[in-house]
Amino acid sequence: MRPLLRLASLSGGAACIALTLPAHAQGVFTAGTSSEADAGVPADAASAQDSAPRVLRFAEAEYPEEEQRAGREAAVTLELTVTAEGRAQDVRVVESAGAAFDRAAVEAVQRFEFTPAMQGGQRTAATIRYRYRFRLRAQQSSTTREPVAVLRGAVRDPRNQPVRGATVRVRVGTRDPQSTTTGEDGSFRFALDQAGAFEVDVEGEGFRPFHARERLYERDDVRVTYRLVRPAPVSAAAPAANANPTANRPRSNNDRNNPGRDPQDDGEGVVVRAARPPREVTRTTLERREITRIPGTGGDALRALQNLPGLSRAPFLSGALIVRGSAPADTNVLVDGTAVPLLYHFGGLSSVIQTEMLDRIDFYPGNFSARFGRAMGGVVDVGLRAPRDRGIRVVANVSLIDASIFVEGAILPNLTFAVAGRRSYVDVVLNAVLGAFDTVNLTAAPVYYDYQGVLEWRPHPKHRIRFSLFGTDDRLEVLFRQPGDQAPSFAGNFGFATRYHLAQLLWTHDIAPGTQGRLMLSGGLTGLGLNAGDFAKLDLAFYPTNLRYELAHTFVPGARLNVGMDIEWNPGFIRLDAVRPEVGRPLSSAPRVTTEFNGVAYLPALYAEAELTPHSGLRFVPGVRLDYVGPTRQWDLSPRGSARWDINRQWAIKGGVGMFTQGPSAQEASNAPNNAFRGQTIGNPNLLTQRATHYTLGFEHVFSPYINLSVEGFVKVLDRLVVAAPTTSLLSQNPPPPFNNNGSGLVYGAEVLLRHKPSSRFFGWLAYTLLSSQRRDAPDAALYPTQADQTHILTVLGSFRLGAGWELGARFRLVTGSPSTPVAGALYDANSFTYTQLNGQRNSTRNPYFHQLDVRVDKAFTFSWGSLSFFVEVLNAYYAQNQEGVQYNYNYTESQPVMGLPIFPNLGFRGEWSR
Amino acid sequence: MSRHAARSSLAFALALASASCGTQTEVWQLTDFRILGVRASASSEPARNSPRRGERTTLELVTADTRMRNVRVAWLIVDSAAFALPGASTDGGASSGGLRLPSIDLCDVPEFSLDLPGVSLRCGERSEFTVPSTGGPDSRGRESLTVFGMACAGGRIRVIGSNSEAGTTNTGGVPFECRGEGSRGWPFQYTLLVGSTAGNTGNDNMHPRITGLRAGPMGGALAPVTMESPPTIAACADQRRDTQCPRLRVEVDFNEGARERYPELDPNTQMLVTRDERIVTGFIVNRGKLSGGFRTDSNAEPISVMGNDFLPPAEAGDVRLLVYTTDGRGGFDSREILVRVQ
Repeated sequence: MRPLLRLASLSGGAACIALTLPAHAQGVFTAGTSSEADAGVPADAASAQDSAPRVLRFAEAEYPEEEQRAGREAAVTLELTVTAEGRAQDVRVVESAGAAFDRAAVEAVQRFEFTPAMQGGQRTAATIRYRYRFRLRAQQSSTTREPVAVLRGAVRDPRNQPVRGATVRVRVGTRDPQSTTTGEDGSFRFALDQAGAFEVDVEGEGFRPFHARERLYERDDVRVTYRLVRPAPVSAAAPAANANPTANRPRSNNDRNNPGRDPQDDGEGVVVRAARPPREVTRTTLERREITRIPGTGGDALRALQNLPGLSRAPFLSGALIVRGSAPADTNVLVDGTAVPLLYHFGGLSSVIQTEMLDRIDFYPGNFSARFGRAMGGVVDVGLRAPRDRGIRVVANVSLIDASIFVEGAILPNLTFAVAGRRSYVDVVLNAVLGAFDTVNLTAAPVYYDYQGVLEWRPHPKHRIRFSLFGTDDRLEVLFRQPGDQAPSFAGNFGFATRYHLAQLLWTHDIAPGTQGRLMLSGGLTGLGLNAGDFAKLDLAFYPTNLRYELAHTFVPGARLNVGMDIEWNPGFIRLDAVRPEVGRPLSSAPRVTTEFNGVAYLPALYAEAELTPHSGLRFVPGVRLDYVGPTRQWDLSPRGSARWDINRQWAIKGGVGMFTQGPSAQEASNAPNNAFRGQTIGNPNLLTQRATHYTLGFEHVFSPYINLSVEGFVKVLDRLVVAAPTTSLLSQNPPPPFNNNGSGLVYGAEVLLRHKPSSRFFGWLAYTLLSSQRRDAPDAALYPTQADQTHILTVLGSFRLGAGWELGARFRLVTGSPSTPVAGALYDANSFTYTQLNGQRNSTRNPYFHQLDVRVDKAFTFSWGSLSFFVEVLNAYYAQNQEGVQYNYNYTESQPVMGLPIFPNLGFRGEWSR
Repeated sequence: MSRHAARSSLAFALALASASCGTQTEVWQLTDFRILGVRASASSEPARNSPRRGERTTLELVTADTRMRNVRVAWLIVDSAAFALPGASTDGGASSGGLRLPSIDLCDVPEFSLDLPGVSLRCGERSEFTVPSTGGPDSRGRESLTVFGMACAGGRIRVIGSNSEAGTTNTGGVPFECRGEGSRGWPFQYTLLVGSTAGNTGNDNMHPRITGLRAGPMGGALAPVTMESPPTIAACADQRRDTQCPRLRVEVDFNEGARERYPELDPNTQMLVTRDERIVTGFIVNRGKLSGGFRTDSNAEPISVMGNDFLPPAEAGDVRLLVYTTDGRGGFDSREILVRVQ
């Protein structure tokens, strides 16, 4: 609440305005733990067109200790001059409350900031009276109870000098903020009467505003250091400790120094950041503003990932994650440690977890920690948020393709919840389009929905228990009334459905000082259904159960050990009911074969990883992981290690090497009989585990608190890759095993990320990847480029704040076209009336370069009850005609390019309400 | 926005998306030279598709060519069980289905034939050979012969020999190529079931027989049509998809029992079960438009009406309409009529 000031009288023309203070008019400020002050109002108004000074920035007075102990409250009336610049001058006591109270009040008011008085449209000095009231909180005046938690620390400038007089404000939920100003040594302290997630704002004269979010638990006494930066560009020689999260800090787990954060961007944000220095040398962190404002992503946090270096451009509408030239199946997607089968909905239109539910997105393109396994490519680990512990918050999003809602709040002070749900209406759009074609009938709409729910309980400050549910369901069904030109038997219902429904229990607990444990137990259903007309029907259902437990202990400062187990038990069921393709026989008359597979994949693993910091700035993370692959009865030992050396505040080098294994899929290793090929098995139970060795080396350079550069080279050597035998060879008299380990590959390249972190006006980055991804299917075969082999991948994006809630952004992408296999001719099958394409050399041609510009405009409105915002995106703004593939006619004698996205507008609205 | 307006907008967006797409030849368009099918029959009983061991068999390649060129055909007949079948859709590389042949021109003499153990090499659009009297079932339990062939219109057939440069072409295992200025060749493949009493092909397979075609205005009565009594229809100047021009409905009649019942080993139960054949019928015109290239039986429609709708061209004149059908087990028949566009 603002103090109410009324203009009293005019005297002496414009020179001075005298104000008086009525006895009972008051506003309320929360000031630390022990004092409250009332801001008074002037008594009389002289003119409705002029205005009196108003308190712009309140400073808390130190409650005199003796008076506090004595339980005394008081009020001091002061008279002061507010200059035309809004500063307090000539502060004197009019009504004393004792020397201690008087001194504290004068000192506090001298630190106030005001909006100056206005007269005739001109700023002018004014004299006012102000009553500073010292009031003890009721419960504290009657008891001597300790504060629930304490947040203390210091505010420093880039040269590590204390910043005096900076205003530090903390707020939890929708409660009124507490504020204080820093002392001579830049220090501040808050004795908090509750635990929770606190929004911290720091403002110092001549510095950029700073925002941080601190989570404090009961009896926490947290020390932090916040460094402010000046708005003018900082020279390269200036210290830039902020840019490096691993720089020396008093306590890193609460040192959220982030100079570029703008208070408008915060709130319940997605900020990807390290609680401790990451165990990996390459981990990319995006801030909420970046995530939600990147053009072309529709504000979807997980789609923002696709703009980072190391990720190839996915084929149009595929939604695949292609990390450093690896196959999409080689990258694990985890939700707080639980593997999920997909990250994006139908065609990559949106991700399967709502942005509002996310706490963090960790993307590891390679050389990841030993706690992650069963992946040769990369890891995306998504964390669900901890719900707010006060009040309630509702967010609704509506776009052209889907709508969602998110609600979070507290049931009890230590029992909180968050739920979210989303459903698409792509079905309406596709029905309208496909309805125009006589031969196609949409019998079941292509729809998707997803949901997430979190219930978090903190029975004790050292224990946090969280129960989560998350799931998604995508389905599409199309009826082709007439057979296709290239497949005379191609008619009937075609569709697919993917789904997962998973429950997760997380328990994090402090066992002893320096020893923490984390338990994760999850289970549920993942499934896939595929219906290919009269030809095939595929049903896959897996019931994965995952148990993880990690124990971390800090032996001495600089030496921490993490040991854990990661057990996956995955019973599965596969049923394929399909016609058996036979040479010289149309599919419509080929026999239909049902093949079923029931099995359990038991995949236990143990790992250990040390975090060693022998001296400041130097960090080693050696680790080892031992995996057992049940279906193939193999043990795999994967040693890994990474290192990082922060040479100084500008330069760091980093590198790593490690081995990463990935077992064959359930069907690849299955020894179930294959009814389609009598006498053969579905898979090959003697397969070996696929293997990749990652090598990375790079450096980082901090140009300024906003601008930094990361360059990293990488090599991946792949061997024992699973290769399928040609189907036709399975028809021979002595068929080979359906799968073998003859594949190998080599991926190498470099990644560059030049990034401008969010400032009050701008954020953006340039991401460039140089990539070569090749493999061979037999030891003596030639290497061929994989589909992921995109030599140059360039993404440049930026977003400018225009003011008044408007923001304008653009993204430009330039990517080498993906390789493709040319068609050399066709063979006519006189039994089925079809032409079979005859391929040329594998992946020997490429699509032309892909280039596309996306632009985005945002407008935000802020209200007392929340906010409203909308965005308009135009994808492919200059209508680049990008070739995504080649379409052939029925006999492969004619071809034409298949083009990607045309100019495509998208818009969305977001509303947020909280109390 | 009305539903129609919304659909128009989305159709426009779709059209924009495919603005660069040109027009490709449809499967029902006869524009050059194409193979319709292979009619393989026991020489002694032309209605029977599946020959028996040691029986003389006639192979006939049915083609259509807008330029009426001379067609040379080469046949390579092998026992399916004796060879690893060629890898369709595999990567480049010349293959001769396991045979080592010299690079020579073939079929300059139409009556050329060569019989080797398990292999027959023949020339001519129509050729006769004797099914080997010995042989066994393939990996699927069927007794069959695999025919690799090349149909070459207006050119000469050359054998891709073992001395050809490997990896330069991919012919899908067919060891022939068609050469010559203005020529057009198609490699083809055909599986001929051998009517043995063993295995799961105990019954003979008979050709489906097109007994007649009926035609008439859409929605009206259909009357039998032949080459001698072609249907007539007015030319259509407006060739849009939703044109108001009259269309001709053409339906195909088959002989009773064209969809035969046959025993087959069920791969799930390994027991003999009875199945019904499924008919696939293709339609081709050299001018005008058809509503689709194929009609087929399906699970949803086991006994489908094999019919098509013809939109006449803008210019008057005779239109060739070819109908060809297969029963899925090698049986074949075809019929051609004229449509008189006025």
